[in-house]
Amino acid sequence: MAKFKEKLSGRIFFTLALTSITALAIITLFIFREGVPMLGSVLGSTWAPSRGEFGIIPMVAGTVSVTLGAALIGVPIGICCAIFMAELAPERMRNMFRPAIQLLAGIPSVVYGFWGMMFVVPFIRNYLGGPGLSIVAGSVVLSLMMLPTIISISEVSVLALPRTYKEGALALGMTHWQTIRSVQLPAAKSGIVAAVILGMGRAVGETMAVIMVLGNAVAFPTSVLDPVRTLTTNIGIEMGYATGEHRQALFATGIVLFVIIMALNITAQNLTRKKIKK
Amino acid sequence: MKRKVFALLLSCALLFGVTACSDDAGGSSGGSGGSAGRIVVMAGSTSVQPFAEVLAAEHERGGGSLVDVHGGGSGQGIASIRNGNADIGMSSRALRGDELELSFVTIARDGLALIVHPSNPIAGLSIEDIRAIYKREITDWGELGGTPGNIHVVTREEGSGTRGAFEEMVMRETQRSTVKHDVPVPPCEDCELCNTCSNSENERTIVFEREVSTITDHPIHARTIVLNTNGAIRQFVAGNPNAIGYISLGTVVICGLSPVKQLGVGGVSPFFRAVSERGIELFDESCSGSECCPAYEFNPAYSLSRPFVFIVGEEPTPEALAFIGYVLSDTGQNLLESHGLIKRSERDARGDSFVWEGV
Repeated sequence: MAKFKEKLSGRIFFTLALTSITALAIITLFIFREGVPMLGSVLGSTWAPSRGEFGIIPMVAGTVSVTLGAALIGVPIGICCAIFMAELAPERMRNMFRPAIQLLAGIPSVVYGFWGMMFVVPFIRNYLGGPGLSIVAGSVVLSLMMLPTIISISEVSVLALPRTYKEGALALGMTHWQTIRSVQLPAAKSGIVAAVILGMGRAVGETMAVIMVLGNAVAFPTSVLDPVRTLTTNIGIEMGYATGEHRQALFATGIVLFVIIMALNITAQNLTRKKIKK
Repeated sequence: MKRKVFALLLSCALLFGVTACSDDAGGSSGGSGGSAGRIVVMAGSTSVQPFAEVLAAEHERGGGSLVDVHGGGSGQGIASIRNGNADIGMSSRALRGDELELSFVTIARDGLALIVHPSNPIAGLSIEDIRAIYKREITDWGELGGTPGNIHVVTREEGSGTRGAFEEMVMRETQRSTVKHDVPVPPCEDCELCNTCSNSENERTIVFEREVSTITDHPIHARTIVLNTNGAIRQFVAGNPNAIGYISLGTVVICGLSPVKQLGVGGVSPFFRAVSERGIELFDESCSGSECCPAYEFNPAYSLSRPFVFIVGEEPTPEALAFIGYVLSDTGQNLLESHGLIKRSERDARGDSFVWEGV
């Protein structure tokens, strides 16, 4: 009887677990079925659905530039914050920081976008020039949004290092800073890189906040103060009115996005796996 | 034939109410029973949607059937009639091509307003100037006689009815030219009925002059900022002294929202500078409260306007017809006018795809 219960519960859990996988499979299948017919025609550089042109390369450039900009701002801050929390912060301060960073992850993206629209965009317009809706504005907003991912994963990977690394370095007469810089950081490198990549994945996938601050112009950016459109905002901004080929082109945009995010996640996963093997 | 039936149904629904009509209409109005009736489902243009909602609320208050208004865009409004998902489709552009086979009626006209920051000294632009701005041929307000500074141009997203209307009314350039044709004249023996046949050897051709119009659709420049609602564009323009954008005229004069300035187009302002009942001149910058709201008038000479169209299927429900009847009635039209639209004109009525025999 007990054995039967074991078996039954196992089956039930398996079925429920299967549901999530099936959902993923169905969504993937649907996106590909809708998008694949247009996949060939999205490789141009002009997006003008009313004239039958569906090139999304400028948006790939937009996604890349905004994500790199966000990483440029967010990665140094995030890694420093992680090191501070793992190594330098006193216990009490650490207990204050952790929930605060979790809170940062919990703020809805539309709130970030609204804040960016009301404060970051006018600031950029007044002090840096241009219309304000720009790569810089998007990068600032996204850098805040990727911080929680970068901080928590990097912190964990620093904390996961064997204590002997730190003790050995200190015993050899290294200062605390030298230990961090030349022993702990290199040792935790793969975890930190994974953290950065996952943070970038977060930035690539973000939609709502960037619609509000990026300006959404479909053109290759020539300066960081230019408005751009990312792959996600292209879907978000045009889905309401899209029909026929236009709609398929948006699904094709989704496929490109899907592939980029998959690539980022697989890279991050491989990096963490390698570390565990060691 | 279908059109006739439709017109008959429509007038029936108007004159005798819903139930009286069921005898003549046969099977097509099977669902009519009592004043509650079936729900009328509407879908389409998000520009028409807010007005349809106001009309629906008033219609229900007057004892009409429930009207459920959805958005989705003009394209979806037309599609929803084709695939039978809605009773009435809404479009904020004129129907074209094979869409003209559908039964449609123009309920009112909306305009586009070009808006700039209130501090902008420019009072109006020509269509050509606006086109050049959106093509990025003019990039500095100094070139237009304003305060020098880069123009920050903002537009709606592809597929939006408002953008479609803007592209149609501003970015489309129609050039008229006369083309001369030399038409050879056949000799007299070949054409006896012809008045212009030539007897002499010298006059072998006649010159015809024909007027030809060439239509060029100029694309909006790719570097133009794109925002996806009227509200977002107004917000952007209200906060940016160098900005220019366009929004639906019906959404521009909503009191208490961020102040923007409407530009005249081709020397014609979209509104009369009417004086309200309380003696306040409208669009006075010192007046921004609700006291400025009540009286303003559309200027019929303003060129940037577009039709708001209701589309129905082949066999519209009596409830849907009753609602259209209400919209086209004086009450409905006055309601639309009070919300910033231009009433349906004789000219609009002539363009409809069925004969409107309303009261």
